[in-house]
Amino acid sequence: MNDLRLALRRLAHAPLFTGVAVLTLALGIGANTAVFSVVNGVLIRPLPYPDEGRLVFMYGHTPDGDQNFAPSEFVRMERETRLVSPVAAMREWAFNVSAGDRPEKADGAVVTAGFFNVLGVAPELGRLPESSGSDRLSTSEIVISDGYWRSHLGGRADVIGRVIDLSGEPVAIVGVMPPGFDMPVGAQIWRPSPYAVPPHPLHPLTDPSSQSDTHFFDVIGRIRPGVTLAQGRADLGGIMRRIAAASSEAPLFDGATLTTLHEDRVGESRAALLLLLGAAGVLLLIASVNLANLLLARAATRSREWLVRSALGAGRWQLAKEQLIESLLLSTLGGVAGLLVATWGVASLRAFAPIELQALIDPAPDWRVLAFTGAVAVLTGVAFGVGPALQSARGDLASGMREGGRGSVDSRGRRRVRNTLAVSEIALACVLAVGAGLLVKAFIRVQQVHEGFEPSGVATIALTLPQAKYPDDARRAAFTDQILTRINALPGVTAAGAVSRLPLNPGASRSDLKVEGREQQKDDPNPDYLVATPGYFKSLSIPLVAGRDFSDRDVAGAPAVAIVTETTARRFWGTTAVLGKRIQIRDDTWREVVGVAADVRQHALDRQPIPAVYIAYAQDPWSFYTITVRGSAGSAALFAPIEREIRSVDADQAVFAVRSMDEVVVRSLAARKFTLTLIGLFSTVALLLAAVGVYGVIAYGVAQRTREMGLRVALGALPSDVVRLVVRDGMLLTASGVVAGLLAAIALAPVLQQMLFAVEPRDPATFAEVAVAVMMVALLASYLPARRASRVDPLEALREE
Amino acid sequence: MIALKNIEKSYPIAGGRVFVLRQITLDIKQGEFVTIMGPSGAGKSTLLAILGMLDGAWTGEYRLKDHEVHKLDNKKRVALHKQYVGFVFQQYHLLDDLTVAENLDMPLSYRDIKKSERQAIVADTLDRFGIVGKKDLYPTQLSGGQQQLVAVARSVIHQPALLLADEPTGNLHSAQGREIMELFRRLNGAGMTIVQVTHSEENAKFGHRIIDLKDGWLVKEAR
Repeated sequence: MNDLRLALRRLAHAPLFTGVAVLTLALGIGANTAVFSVVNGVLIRPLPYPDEGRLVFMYGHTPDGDQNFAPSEFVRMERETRLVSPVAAMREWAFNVSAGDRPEKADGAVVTAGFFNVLGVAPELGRLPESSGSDRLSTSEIVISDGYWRSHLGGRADVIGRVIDLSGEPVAIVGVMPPGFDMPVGAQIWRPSPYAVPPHPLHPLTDPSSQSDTHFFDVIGRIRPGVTLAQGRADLGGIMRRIAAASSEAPLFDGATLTTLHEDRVGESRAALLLLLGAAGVLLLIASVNLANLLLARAATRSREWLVRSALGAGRWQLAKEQLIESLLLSTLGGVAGLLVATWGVASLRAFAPIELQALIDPAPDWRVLAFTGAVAVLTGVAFGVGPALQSARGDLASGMREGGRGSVDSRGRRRVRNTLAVSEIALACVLAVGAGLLVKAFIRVQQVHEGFEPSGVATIALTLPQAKYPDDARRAAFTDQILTRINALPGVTAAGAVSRLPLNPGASRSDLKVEGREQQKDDPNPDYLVATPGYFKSLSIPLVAGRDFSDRDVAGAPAVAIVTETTARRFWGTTAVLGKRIQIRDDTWREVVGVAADVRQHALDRQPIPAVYIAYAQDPWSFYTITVRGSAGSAALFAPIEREIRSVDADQAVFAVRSMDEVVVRSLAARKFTLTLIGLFSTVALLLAAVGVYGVIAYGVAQRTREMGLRVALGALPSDVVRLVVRDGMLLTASGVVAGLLAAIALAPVLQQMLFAVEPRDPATFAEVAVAVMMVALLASYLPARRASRVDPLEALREE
Repeated sequence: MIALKNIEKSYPIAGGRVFVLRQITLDIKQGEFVTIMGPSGAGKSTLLAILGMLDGAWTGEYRLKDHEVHKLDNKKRVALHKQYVGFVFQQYHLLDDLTVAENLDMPLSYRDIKKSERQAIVADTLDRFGIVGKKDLYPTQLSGGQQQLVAVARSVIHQPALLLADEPTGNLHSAQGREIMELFRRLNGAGMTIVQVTHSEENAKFGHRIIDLKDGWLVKEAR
């Protein structure tokens, strides 16, 4: 007899059992493989640079946190460091590329000569930019990423040597970097800096190498073999102290911070990913427990069969073999379904993950994890499938056979094991549900935070003005004024403006703030430095608490003006009555405060507003900014007309980050939403599996007690009495699970602290809600078999005796 | 063929032991057809299980052919069971997932018989029991009598020397019951030793000898 064929037939004859078991396996294996593939890609797998453990990001250390080095510090560091060498500086840069008929924006970086040397990666095609003397590389040569090469240049080998228009300058593509070369994240084009440091984005034509008061680029380096992070830190710290000693000003840095490249990239995601991994692990545990329970229930119904087989001469090994084949078949089906879930899961996770993680996630599921989770499934299948068969074969055949006629054979011990498994499932599901509940609450509360502006109906479009075309303040101011005038005149536009950094977008520019007549204090925060045009506040509906908006008269040469936020006014003056006060920020120009704006959640919805100062754009015309336009007919209708107006002024000007302000808000919550959705998904699946577990145990118990139920009905029990009896059993199991689960959650909840917002990790309401929710699900899961039990025909049931 | 001497079986209970079988001494000859009778709880099925080596926890001496069963470990008893014993149950115990032919094949598959040979034996048995037309049906598609017929066929397909039957007609109406008993008589006539447990006086008459059990004691033997 073909064992495999029979196993298949047995599984086909029990579609509910097979379906639930395969689904359980698929979810357990799939979810774990998917999440672990992500965790592996992000946290475990080395970055694609040789000896990547020696690559570090370097920052100056201050008591308030780390900050980027100033150009002069970098130059000195590069010269003097003995333990961290080579070092390089890089600055993210948005290029306008005119290769076809429409100019496009491409993300990239301007890097110093040591950059490729530090990372130790050679191009997959072509070469690196050549040295043009004095330790610099040729600035008319660029290298591009593999992704850009394939998506924009057709992956053709003949792109090497091709000259393209990069922000108004002709440059030659000399190399294509290998896939995975992604420094900084998302970079598509690397261009050498003409200076010893990257150019300042606002003044790219000025060599900033000797500046000591601006901090606008990142520094990477490679520590020498055998040198520890601490030794490297001490080496750089010594340089910082020597610089401080030679300077007349108060030193900014008291040392240096070294973080591995890997840690720098994934540090912030670590907690969330480990949390997800833990949740996926719990899910695998629940799935295994569920599978075990299913198999034990099935074992009970098949005990009779095993006894018959024994009586007909089957040895223990033969019984075990048949069961093993069935378990392996089930695990294989589950594994295949799990692979499908994992493949789909990884793809979804990748698409859904925060942008900085996407590139690290391999699109294919990790085979090692698949093998591991598959092995867990097989072991569970074997342990709980073959074990009972062996036990049955060893059992008391004689009495088993006699009982056999009344249905299935079950031992009290096995029943206890099944009850315990169901209780554990409920407890584990409770833990996940509490986690999900807390995250949901935090998410809702974050969303309830008032942004400080009104996002709906606002369109935003980012621009970077190329230095070649707009080399000076006057030209930049004139261009911006011109496009805003045209956009303001568009039908349906109620307000339009521009700001150097849109709220809730990454990045910040901060500067020292000096208030006239006030002694600077050691713990004075550095306010956000924002440049805004007239109309910006109106376009985002940011209320002005006092004073006025910027106006067309606030131009270069006119009295310098500033608008401060409420928090700034309170922090520096102790009042919001600050109109007419004077401040210095960024440079030594005295600027008069002409307005006080309401606070805006500039960096994140879940972070309290920090002080911010707005400067009139025309008095400091940045070359990159975001246009914000409020329209009466919503944001969608605005994008095309805005782009048209921009191109009518400059046909070569690329636009990017074309988004509604609502979308900006949503994006800022992406990481939170990512974690929440996954945990939410896991806990839903966990709850379902636990419900299946409770259902299985209760339904099985009902099947076992058919005669008892019939007898009770024959003796006068009403259907409702039977329902109550059965449901009570289910609720007792569930209550034990809930208590155990909530206790575990109380112990584990602080793990979530970092990811919560405006909700305590041991929030009693959430715990209560979870308890009620789980009890409700279990109530339903036990009601279904209870209803069936209440419909038992007493005559039929007793006849079975 | 079978010699039992002072067979006893008991369970521990609080404050002592409860005896299911007491000092059973009994000989059964090759080719005999023995019926065990007695009220419920007399120990009939237990005795049958001990004879079939499905129950291992007893004391006394049991000799089956040349084998001293009481001295054998479980593994050897299983081997002996496999070699000599066929079992018929009151509840048929056919496997619902297997067709009639597959149910018949099962005991053979546990006995290292080549597939081609097994197929021949199954075909022959189907023919002998007049169930060729049912070979591809599943047990649930058969009547009770047909199911028991298949169960008997399955229990003898490997030609055991000893056929043990526990209330083989208990679930059948009288005409079907008689057919099964006639079948037993034919098998016995062909040399098979049969021990049956029954409550039915009528069925008991098919055997050569009746053994009466009461409260675990062998109280009467009649021919």
